[in-house]
Amino acid sequence: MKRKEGVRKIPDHIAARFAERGIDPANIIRHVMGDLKLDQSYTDMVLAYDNEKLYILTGTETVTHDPKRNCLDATFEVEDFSEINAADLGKLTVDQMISVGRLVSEKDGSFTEIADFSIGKTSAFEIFARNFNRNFGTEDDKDDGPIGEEQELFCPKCGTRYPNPSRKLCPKCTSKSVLAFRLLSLFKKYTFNIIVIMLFLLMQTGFSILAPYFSTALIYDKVLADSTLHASGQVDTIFLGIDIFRQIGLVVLGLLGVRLLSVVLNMLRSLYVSATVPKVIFDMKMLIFSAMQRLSVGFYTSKQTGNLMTRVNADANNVYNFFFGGVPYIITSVSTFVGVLVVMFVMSWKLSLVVFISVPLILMSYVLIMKFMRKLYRANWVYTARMNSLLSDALYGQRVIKAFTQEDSESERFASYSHRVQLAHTQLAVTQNTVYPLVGLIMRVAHCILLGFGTVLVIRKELSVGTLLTLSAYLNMLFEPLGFFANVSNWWSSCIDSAQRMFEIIDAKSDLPEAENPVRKEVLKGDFKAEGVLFEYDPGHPIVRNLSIEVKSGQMLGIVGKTGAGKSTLINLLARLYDPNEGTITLDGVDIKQIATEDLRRNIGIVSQDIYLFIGTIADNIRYARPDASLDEVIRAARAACAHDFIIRLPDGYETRVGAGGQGLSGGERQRISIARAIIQNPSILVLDEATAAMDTETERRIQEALTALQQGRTTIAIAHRLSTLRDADVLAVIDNGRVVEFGTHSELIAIEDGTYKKLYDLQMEALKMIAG
Amino acid sequence: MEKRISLSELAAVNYLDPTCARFFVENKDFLSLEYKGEVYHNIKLHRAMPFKLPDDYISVQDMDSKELFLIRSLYEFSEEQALLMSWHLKKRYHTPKIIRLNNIKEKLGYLYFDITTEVGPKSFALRDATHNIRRIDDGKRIIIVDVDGNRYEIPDVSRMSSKDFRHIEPYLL
Repeated sequence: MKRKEGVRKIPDHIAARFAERGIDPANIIRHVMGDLKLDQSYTDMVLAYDNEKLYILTGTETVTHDPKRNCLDATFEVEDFSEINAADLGKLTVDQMISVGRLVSEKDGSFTEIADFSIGKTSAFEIFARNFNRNFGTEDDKDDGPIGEEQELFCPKCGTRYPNPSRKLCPKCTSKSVLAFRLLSLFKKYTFNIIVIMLFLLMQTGFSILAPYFSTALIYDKVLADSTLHASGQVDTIFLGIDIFRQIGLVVLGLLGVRLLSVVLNMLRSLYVSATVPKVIFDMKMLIFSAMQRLSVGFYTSKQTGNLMTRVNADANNVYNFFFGGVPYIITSVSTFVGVLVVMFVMSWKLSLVVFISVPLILMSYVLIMKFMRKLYRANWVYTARMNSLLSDALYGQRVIKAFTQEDSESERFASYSHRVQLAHTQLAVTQNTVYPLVGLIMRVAHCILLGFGTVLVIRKELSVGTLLTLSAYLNMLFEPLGFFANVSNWWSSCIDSAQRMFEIIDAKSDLPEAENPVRKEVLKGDFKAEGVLFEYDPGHPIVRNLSIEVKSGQMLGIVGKTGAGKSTLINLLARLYDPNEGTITLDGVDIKQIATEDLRRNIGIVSQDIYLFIGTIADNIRYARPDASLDEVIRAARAACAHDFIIRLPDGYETRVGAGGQGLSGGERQRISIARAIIQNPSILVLDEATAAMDTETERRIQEALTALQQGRTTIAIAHRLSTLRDADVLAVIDNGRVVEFGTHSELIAIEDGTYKKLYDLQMEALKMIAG
Repeated sequence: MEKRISLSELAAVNYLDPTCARFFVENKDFLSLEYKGEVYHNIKLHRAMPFKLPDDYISVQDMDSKELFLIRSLYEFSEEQALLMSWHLKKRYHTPKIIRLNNIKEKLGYLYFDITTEVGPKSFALRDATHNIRRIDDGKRIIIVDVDGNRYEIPDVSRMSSKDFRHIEPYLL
């Protein structure tokens, strides 16, 4: 027996430790890494087996990341080693406890604990145990079906734990600069718009730097200086060689011009941004939404998906806000800061140097404040989110609240949550109003130093009054961007976080890829065959195992089984919402993986127990699968589904709005609309998954008649708990624990003494007799 | 007037009588129960209120997690029996106590913890701090649940060193 292809090789640093003990690592068939000793203290443990023995190696594994080579160096220092003859072990099973698991050997009714491990390693140990049993166990110990491979939990480059092992995205190795460049590529289309916005901003910055010069230096040092000379009769005109009053007029006009241009530029920029931003938001949301539509149902049911709505809305907003709000602001702030600094140093380097000392102090204060404020913002956010959850809980649960007269206690609960929000708000406001004025104080001190030291320089005739006043105005402009600089890294981080989440969706590959050259089938006949199908959502936990069923075109297959037996999973596999891990499902002899998804889905009409009506009119919902269906067809479909009578009684008839915020319909009414939706699709294969479960007996009977008519010439697969619903089935399959345990016609199955179907049938008959009796 | 059936009559709970029960260990690590002449091998104890009442309302289950009996309180048993059950519960609810919080880093929406526990050092990742850092009772006791479902405990957050507390403080809401 040798290691199979695809089985993870034992790492070199551990293989060496086995070799030291005379065990050839090449003979090791499989290994698993554990993390607990039997006394449940942490350790690094390797469990491995070859053809003869099971080995347990415990010790300390040291993994270091070599940033230069961007790879891992690892060593394993052995503390303890033991071996057990495989022949002495029985069937290996995993006993899953609350937050740990243990590997147990069961032989002749006696149990032995082999190893303990943290709960996260359960799947790896289950795979290990099942493989061990296949190699050494008796026939009874070997379970059927494939055994998946354990997932890689750690990044092979840096050793960081993947937050979501099904998506191999390492937070440490995901380069922020790579993400930034990818983000920029999203905005490539808008390069011209961004350049125009930046030009506007740079011009605006230039004018804002120019304004203090006009309003102070030019007036004090030129015009007023000239006026003194003019008054003493020394000159008529000096500045610009024109009359003093014209000088004043020109300076005022110049200042007005600068201000006016600044306002015009600001208006133009705002208009331009307003025209561009909605397009960007639209593009980004469409990008995420379209990517989401490509993904399989598995993606949506995955626990790690998080709040997808937040992704579409908040993440897109975060990213565009940074590029259209943040980036231009960074440019303005940096250019203002540098521009003002240069101008100040040119005007008086001595004075500028003195006040510049305050800049790092203010910057540091801002950084500290931001750090503290982040805690308060987070508290504020968490408490508000909790209060909102409680609010929505209470609104949805109003019927229960009133039924149990809990209005007062709910009000108290809301008051306590609301009070926390109020306290958090108050703390935030108080802090804001305390710390920011303190930073302002540092600025004022710097300002006083500038005025004091500047006045000395003016008296010494080293500086003009105008220059001092201009520098004073510039100092305020210098301080303005500092607050922003302190927060820019957070802004950038949240943008990158959002970008990473966005790209995770955009890059996620569909689990159900379309065949390269899909078989086009406009109309399917409906021959359905499943052969040796095995499916598991989680490795080691098969939901459907070794399942084989065949239904001829036009036949009706009834599926019977307990809740959780795997009936609905079978339907999901048929509609290719998931792909089986093993085995094939064919329609008209073609593997459904090869059939164009569009054709496959068009030919399968599903009426499920989960009814979803989209926001829109009843007519829109009925013609959802065939938007070109005429109103005549819609009404016919509704009639066939026994929905017409209640629809026509509604004030807005077929134009009644349903879905969120629309007309409230009963479960039975919604189900009838969903049946009409399937009828209008005119599918070759009709799937009824507890289609009439939400209806009263009378309606069920009427719909059943409609469905019976609809089933003519169509392959029908129906799941039902009430066996009466399946009385017309050509063939019945009883599913238990993912396997077909009985298969045949009603009379064949009823003839099986102690059969599952017979038991179910007898139980339901008895129940009916009791009701009748 | 017909007597109304009380809740206790309607659904009798199969409480274990401490005077007739004897828990014992088989093969070093497997708990078994001898009760009124019957022996139940390889049973499991499961807490009904694992956080607030860890020693009360404990379900005795068979290998298939089917409840056999319910225990009102471990304190109803002899010290030796209670210790045995506590040992079993501790093993099942492995929740190491955190001695030191060496570091907490936030990366792309996940928290990465580097801690030292009573049973050794450990690093783990955590998703959604609001739900997975759980404050129990008066808020002093903290249970942290990582991405895999492993649990760690800070028995009294107010007794942590100020350095450790600063690490976790932003997430204690």
